[in-house]
Amino acid sequence: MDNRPSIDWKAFGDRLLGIALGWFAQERTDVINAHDAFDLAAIAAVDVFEKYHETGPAKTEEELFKIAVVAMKHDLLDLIKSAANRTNFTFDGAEKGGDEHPALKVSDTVYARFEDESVKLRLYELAEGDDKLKEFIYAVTELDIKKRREIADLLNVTPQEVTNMQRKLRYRHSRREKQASKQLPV
Amino acid sequence: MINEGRRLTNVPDPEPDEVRDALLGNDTDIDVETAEKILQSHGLSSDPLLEKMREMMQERIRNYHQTGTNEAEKENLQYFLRDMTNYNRARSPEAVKPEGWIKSIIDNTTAGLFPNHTKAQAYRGKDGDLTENDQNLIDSIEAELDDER
Repeated sequence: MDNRPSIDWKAFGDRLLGIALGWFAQERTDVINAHDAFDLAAIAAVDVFEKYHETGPAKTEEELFKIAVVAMKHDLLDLIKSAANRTNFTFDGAEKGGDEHPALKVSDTVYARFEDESVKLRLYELAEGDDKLKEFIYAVTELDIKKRREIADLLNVTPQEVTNMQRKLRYRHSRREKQASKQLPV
Repeated sequence: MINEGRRLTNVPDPEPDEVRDALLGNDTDIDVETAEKILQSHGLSSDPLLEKMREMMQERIRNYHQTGTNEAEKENLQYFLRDMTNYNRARSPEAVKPEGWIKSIIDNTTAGLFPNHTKAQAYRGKDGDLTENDQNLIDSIEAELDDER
């Protein structure tokens, strides 16, 4: 019996590309070409489909999706390291990237450091005057509360409302970074 | 690409970022609606991505077929390519046959599904008036609404 799951291809593609675009919209990924977002997502997904028998095997589309995201993140790191080695690009606090710098992390290369003051300021701008969202950002970045349930208790909202705030922030973060940094392929 | 020597289930997340996950949610938890909004804000859709994936799967299947190797990988790709083809076929306009829907409505075959509902005739006579049945239906709905006020 074939246990391979059927895929909702549009949802799978939308979600994978949404994540890749979020990464590529970050200023720190300027070292690589924004056009690579499509290639990155496509290669990770096809790799995982191809190696399905090594996925557990995954029984659901969601399981496959999660594996594809992790694969995509590894590929992105490789891509950035490779691009950094071809150029004189240096990461904050590190010399030229590559295997000689095993401490190189995703947060050094892809994600903005949300602990940095300048990044925090931009986060508060993304709240666009929404006091609840500001309190949420404050709770995570200043009070160091990271569990959804604990954040919900502190803000006196439901955990689902915390999730909704995360989604709002994710969208605005991607949208904002894209406008501030570079044009992506059409 | 994925390290050939490792099982995919054993490939760890390179570096979980607790602060980022707490602020934006874990990447893998992204919902379709948020993803669509991000894509729209960039003026993009996932259609070119799916097309690229389809071409890549076809290319790899061809290569495996020519070399006669990697039977498991080839079967996996064939399955997912077929799944994508079926998905696209189901979403294509040709797959929606209006004749079937219209016929089922006329035959009142939906009555079993919606026994308490009376179907409305969405057309008017040549003189522009509603049919007697439709007028009665609207009158009865209006009466029900009046009762509720």
